[in-house]
Amino acid sequence: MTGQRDIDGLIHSFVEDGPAEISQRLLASIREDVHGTQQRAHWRPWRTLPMLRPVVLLAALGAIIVAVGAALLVGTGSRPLAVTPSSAASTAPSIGPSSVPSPAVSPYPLADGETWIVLQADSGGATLIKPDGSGSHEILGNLPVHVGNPNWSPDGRQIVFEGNDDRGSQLWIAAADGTAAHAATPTPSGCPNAACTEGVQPAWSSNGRSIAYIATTHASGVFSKSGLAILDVATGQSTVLFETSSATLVRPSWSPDGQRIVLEIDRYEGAPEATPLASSVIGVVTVSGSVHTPKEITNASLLAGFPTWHPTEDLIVFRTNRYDVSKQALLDAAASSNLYTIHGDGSGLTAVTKYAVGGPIVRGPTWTTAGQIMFGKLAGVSQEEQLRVIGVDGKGEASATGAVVTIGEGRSRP
Amino acid sequence: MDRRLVEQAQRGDEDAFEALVRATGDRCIGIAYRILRDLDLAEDAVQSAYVSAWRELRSLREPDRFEPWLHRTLTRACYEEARRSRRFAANIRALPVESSYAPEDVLSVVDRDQLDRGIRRLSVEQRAVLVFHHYLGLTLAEVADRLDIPIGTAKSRLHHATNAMRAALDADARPAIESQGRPA
Repeated sequence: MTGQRDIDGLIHSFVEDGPAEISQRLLASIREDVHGTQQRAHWRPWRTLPMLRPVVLLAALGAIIVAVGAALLVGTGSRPLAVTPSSAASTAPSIGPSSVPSPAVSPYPLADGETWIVLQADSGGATLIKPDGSGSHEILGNLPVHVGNPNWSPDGRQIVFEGNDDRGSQLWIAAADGTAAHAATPTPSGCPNAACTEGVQPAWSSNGRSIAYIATTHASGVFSKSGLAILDVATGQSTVLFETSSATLVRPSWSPDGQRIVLEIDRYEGAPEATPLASSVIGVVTVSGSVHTPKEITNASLLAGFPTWHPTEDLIVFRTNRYDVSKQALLDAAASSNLYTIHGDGSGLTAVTKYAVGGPIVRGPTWTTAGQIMFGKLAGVSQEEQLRVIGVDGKGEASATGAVVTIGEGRSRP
Repeated sequence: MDRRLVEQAQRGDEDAFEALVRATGDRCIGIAYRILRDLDLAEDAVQSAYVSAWRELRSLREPDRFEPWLHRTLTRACYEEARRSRRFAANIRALPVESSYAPEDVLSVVDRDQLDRGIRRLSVEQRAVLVFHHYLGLTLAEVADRLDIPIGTAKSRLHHATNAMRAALDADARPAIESQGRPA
């Protein structure tokens, strides 16, 4: 049998083999094509076009109002979150803050009440930017990990994010100005060669005590299981509520009262991650109690995903028919891509949009304070994504003036 | 990469963009060929990637990250070429060695033939991870970042790809004709 060292060396030699020089003919063709192609006028957050500012400001303002509302609910003792480890749950070892080279004092202090949007930066850190496009600066760029999926604490004073390095992804927490960054979940010894559980896609609960995230385990590089975990922010201890080896769990989102978590469940044609995606459904997990198996509330035929719970109501928005980036096509090319809403118990499934087959592609729906849905919309598989807003009744879809939005999944500071 | 060239190109300077193409083109053709295993397809993917990069250049937030961003665009173009082209399903013989590296010292003709068959059995996504890791020498975190995939997925794809290549080497040598027309 071929040993690991041998195979790596042979593959390395093999991939060295082959052409590595662009031809003059191809250079000429590219020059000709470029000459006949206009550059797109992308919206750049730090150079916000004046016409876009009201839209972004509305989104940010909405997030503030929602967060204040949620904080008031918590403050009045309205059904606080209770995470009760069950007999089926397993507990990960707790850890304390790690010493990392983040600055003790930020050159960009954030005053309470200031509104900022946080985005994952191309450079490996995170970008903070005000809704009017000013003040853009990078934080967390000096960490030994790359930042992914940054998300605010409900009081806006901290940011939780994925810290990605060669040993995998774990949750990290930092102050909102980028100081005091520390690992919040431990990297198991032996990663990535031994069994290794990573923490991704964190979502902070509205009372600030817990962070839901996806805990994915690989053994020697092969998918083993996917779990829904909750990190107790005060103790640093994680509790796995539910895990499965036959599917992958994606993007948890808390109900307003902190009693339930909605997530996407992805199933594959064969082994998860090793075979093509076959379907996705929306599941709801009850946090308290002893049974944490997700209750599936959508049919597989919908190919439902990216659920986001309304910040104050029992209403979940999701999109159907995933756009597969690697294939640059919809998962089901014969179906349409649309927005739907549904209640947490699976009742009241309602189509928000009614785009036809071959029509636009919708992505990443979230809520605004006015009860509207903000989502990404692609006119086609090769088109740029635009930010749109639409009412829950499917009326009043508005364009963000036609300009391209590049902020992706940027999140406004509460 | 010269940041000023990127910024000039973002302002619509075609000469600056051509300079960027000349500076990065060799590596792009190397990546595309190794993913697609077909020079014609690789050239189509590279051309498509550069035109797309030119069109979308103003969306690049960090000019210093031009090359990683370009490689991500190129990988998507490779996926698209692989999906569109019927030729991808055919077994196409490898081109003559043009590298200064002397693979004959390490790889036998039989090894190379078996590895070529092995890589053609991989999905295009698995090939991309293999190429970025071994050809560009990127760490898994860098591969994940470059391909815009989770590290776990990168690890998983690399693991499956490596196992498939090992299996190809461990298999008994078979006549090349057996793999004609085998889907990639």
